[in-house]
Amino acid sequence: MDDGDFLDAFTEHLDRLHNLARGLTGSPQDAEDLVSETCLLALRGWRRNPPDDPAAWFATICLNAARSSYRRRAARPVEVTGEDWLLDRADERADTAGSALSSIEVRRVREAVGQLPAPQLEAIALMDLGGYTAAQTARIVGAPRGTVLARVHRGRKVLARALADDREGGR
Amino acid sequence: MRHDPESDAARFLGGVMPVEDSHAFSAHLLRCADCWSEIEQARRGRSLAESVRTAASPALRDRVRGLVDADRLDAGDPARRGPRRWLLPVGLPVAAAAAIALIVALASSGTPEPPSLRQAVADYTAERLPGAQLPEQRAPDLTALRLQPVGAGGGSYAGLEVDGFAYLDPAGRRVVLYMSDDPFPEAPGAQQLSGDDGPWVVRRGDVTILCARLPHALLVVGQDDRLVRSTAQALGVL
Repeated sequence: MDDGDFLDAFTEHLDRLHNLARGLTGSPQDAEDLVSETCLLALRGWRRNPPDDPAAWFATICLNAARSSYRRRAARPVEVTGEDWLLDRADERADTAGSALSSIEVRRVREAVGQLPAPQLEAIALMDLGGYTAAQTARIVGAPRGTVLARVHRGRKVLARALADDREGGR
Repeated sequence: MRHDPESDAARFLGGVMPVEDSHAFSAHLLRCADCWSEIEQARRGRSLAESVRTAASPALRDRVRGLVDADRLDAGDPARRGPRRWLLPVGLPVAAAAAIALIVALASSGTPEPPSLRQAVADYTAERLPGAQLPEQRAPDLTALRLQPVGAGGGSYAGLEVDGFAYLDPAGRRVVLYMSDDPFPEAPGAQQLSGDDGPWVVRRGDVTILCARLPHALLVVGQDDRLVRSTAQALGVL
């Protein structure tokens, strides 16, 4: 298993990792940085010992890197990103086939996800954004499957209510 | 079975409820508004979350490929170095000579590094921007070099108002532009690139600083010397 095998495996799961990272971070740029960091950490680990379940292994590395990043960012000056030119065009293009959400709603969903408590946010980012199963998510976050299901359930309810409130409020 | 709408709905949707309980819960749903609401909200929330999924951009795919290629070249295993090996016999004496030349130049000039330049290099190395103020202008377009803006912020370096613009290329190489309305001081030992008032370049450790005084007081800072020079050329200042 060489670097070429790694690249094949990583790019196969890149969409899922990108969505996971996007859910765990506040901006498209941070998400791409997180995926890049995950790539390098995973590559070096892969050379030592390739994993049995690359999908879950990449996600575990991504989640741990995101958690470290929260801590680093707490001690770092705020970077101003000029929204004019660093706007998330990909978000505005919205999104997967069949999506009926407007760009404003996409933004609102992302905001609502970002405001969830960390355990719920991680569960939503892994299961609903990254598409990982409940069993994989339980292994990745190191919690029982029932706990993960409870977290994702509560997170989904919060999202549903947040968007329903927006619509009722005429936003 | 104890009636707990939230827990029951989570287990039902998660597929971990025993088959018999699942059938009973399905029947119960038809007459229990609380459980029905739990299911409905969770399904709507999942649908909303799933609807913001996006495909990874081609730029991110390029960046990942570039990272793997670059790391393969930089890895300690000599077998992974590939074509770079031929650089070693030539590169080491050149690097040593450059370091000696820099030491001699600094020693002969006796001039300390201007604080604004020292701060620019320190911030570049620490991946910091000059500050958190909104820059006065948009980031210059460097997409011709496949450099994407990743951050911007304004602040002050030793009394000099500076805007910083950070970029990354697909291989993860970083370049930062520092722009000011006033000229940056010249670094001791700097090499003039075209006349006394023209641009100059200097190497500090593994970082290249290129300064062009016209048309803007501009610093281009990066670890990759060629990328720094290409950036200056793309900006029309070299």
